[in-house]
Amino acid sequence: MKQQTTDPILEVQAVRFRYPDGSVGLDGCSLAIQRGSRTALLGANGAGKSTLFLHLNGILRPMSGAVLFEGLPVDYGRQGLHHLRSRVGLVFQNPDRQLFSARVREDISFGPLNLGLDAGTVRNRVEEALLAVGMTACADKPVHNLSFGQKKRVCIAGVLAMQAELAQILDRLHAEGMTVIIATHDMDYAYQWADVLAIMDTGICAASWDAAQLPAYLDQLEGFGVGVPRVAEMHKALAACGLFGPDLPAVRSHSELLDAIAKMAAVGSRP
Amino acid sequence: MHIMEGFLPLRHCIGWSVASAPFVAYGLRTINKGIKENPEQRMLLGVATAFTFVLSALKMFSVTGSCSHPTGTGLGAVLFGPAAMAPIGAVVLLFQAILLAHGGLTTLGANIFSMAIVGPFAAFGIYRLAQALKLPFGVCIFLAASMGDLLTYVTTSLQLALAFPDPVGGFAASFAKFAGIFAVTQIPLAISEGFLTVIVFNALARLNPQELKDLNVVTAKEVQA
Amino acid sequence: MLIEHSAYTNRWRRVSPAAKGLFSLCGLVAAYAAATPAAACGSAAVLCVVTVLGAGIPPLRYLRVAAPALFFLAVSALSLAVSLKIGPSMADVSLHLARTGFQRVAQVCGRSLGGLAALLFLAMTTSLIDIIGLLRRLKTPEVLLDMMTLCYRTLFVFSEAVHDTLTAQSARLGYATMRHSMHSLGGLVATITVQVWQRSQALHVAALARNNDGPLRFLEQVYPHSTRDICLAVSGGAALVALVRVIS
Ligand SMILES: Nc1ncnc2c1ncn2[C@@H]1O[C@H](COP(=O)(O)OP(=O)(O)OP(=O)(O)O)[C@@H](O)[C@H]1O
Ligand SMILES: [Mg+2]
Repeated sequence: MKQQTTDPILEVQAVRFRYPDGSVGLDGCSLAIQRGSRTALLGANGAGKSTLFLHLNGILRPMSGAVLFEGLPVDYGRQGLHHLRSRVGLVFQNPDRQLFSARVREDISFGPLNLGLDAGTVRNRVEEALLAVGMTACADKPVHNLSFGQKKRVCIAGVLAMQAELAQILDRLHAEGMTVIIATHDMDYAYQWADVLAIMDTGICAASWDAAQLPAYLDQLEGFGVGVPRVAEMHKALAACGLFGPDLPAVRSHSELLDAIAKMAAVGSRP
Repeated sequence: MHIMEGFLPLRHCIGWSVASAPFVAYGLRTINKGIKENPEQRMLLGVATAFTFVLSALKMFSVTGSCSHPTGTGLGAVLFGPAAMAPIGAVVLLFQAILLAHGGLTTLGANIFSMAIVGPFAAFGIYRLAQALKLPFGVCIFLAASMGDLLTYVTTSLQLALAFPDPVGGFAASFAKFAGIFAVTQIPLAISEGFLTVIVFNALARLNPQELKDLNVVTAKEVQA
Repeated sequence: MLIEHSAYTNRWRRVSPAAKGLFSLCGLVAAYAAATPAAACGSAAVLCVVTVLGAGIPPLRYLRVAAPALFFLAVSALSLAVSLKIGPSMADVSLHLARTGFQRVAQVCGRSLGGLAALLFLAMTTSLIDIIGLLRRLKTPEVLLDMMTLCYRTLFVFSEAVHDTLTAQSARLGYATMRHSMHSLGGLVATITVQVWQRSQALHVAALARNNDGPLRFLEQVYPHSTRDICLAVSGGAALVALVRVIS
């Protein structure tokens, strides 16, 4: 499970966390997030994905174990948290639980103003963030008249405007050099999108694989109940029929698989 | 029952605003203190205000079969405390004036006094008194909610009577007139809201949320009742 | 919510709220400054025309918004017009139309109409978020502003929840009889009550994640031509007050 390149921007080491009512959030979870990578966090409902995220942003504090940001243990003092949260952004599952103000621009300005930036800078950042998520046209609508997806975009803009180094969701962010972690139940999407797939299982990080290496672990993956990427299954089945050689590079999306099949067919039909 | 914009003479508008201000200021001070100790309260108050607003927009079948809106003063006073209800009610009344044209800006002070001060304080006082008398929990809640409503309506009638004493019968006659005419809607409302609030607390006891257990009002013993 | 809809769609939605607030204030002053009912009604008519023609509010919607307040006015005016005479014994109660009271009733009605028109002008042209921004500039206590901002945002979240639950309950005959409907409504209110704590907790966490540790701070909205609009509004408002004084 070791990564080849090791420049982890964020790392959790054997983190344990219990909620006040006694339910176990994390139970000795360890995971390293590589700088500039795309990580998909997969796991059944209640596996602890959201809990892990709240640790990465310093909202929850581990009861034992440690969270490391750029190699150093997180400082939970005022200054330390300020530093961490200005670099690590968080988009929540439900936008209605995250947006404070009914005005789109006001809400996006909330984070950068908390960073103590001056009004001019904040104004620019708000406009840039709106542009980045494609919401400039909707910016004058009140939040309650936006669709669910649009609200989600406003949430992302709120994180972007803080210029956090680590955010979740969206390829575009990754293209800008951000490290992105998403929590998802959509294995097919994760397999196609991510560099690293991390599997959460009842409070621990059970596995963390390079997406390219995933086909080798399909049997193990089945045991976690998070599903298996359908293209990988299909690929395996076709390989079993002898259509592909066993050492073909991993096929990560439906269209890649179709291309590979077409190529094979072309080779096969040649006289 | 909101007094509409422009209905009260200027002197009364000012008078009732001056009378309400210290209660709202006291409420804000209590809230500020609460927020210092427990920063989450900032969000709690905002959300509680929205809750009270939405509650007052619900349609409720009144005991006479007609439709009316609950005021939420009893429920709010028991859940959030009467001191917090003054600012909460002030914001709700301002929102009602601007979003629904119920009540008004010049009559805000008078409406705050009846609905956000007298109502919640009466409801809370009666709730505590009934508890001290060891009445069953349901009866305490019913009395608090319905008496809170009734006293609100009596206060509004008093405010109107003070502003417009009857040319012949004076203040008492005027009060009888206003109280009589609004009794048609307000007394059934008070009874219905009393019942509704009891049902709400019963349902809350079934849901049995940690949050309400942390609240000083619903102790573990009462939840079982 | 008809007013809410108007506030976001009217022609003057981008006009500085300070200007609209000042004009509305002048309308209120005019309602109280009017010495005769006719003058007050005149002021109401001017404000009504300005709202409907100027801001482009459909007249029918305007009337529907004003209806509940007008109903209150009718009932109250009726009780003002009727005089109650309580004699020495309880049986000696008589009702009669007070002729001297008529002037007073007209005065109150005129003033109320003028006030209502001023309120509706502000409410139907200005979104609440703009009004909160205006109050922020007027140095309203921070806690109150935070309460308003959060309330305005959350009330729509709650209304949506209420609407969904009502639909789900009605679909299962929760409101078939009065008894049922009381119970369904009680259950509905209880679920929403629990959400008060859950939602505020979630918002608190979201605020922490965005580095907040105190009052909520937002960027002020800028309005184009705000000085010009304020000058226009104040002169218009002053003219209205002067007009009312002249007529009466
Ligand atoms: N506020 C809370 N109080 C008590 N227990 C909680 C709380 N939040 C989460 N839990 C519990 O912690 C465990 C992990 O929850 P978490 O929200 O991290 O799961 P998740 O992987 O994000 O699930 P999902 O895919 O459904 O979002 C669950 O058992 C859950 O019940
Ligand atoms: Mg989750």
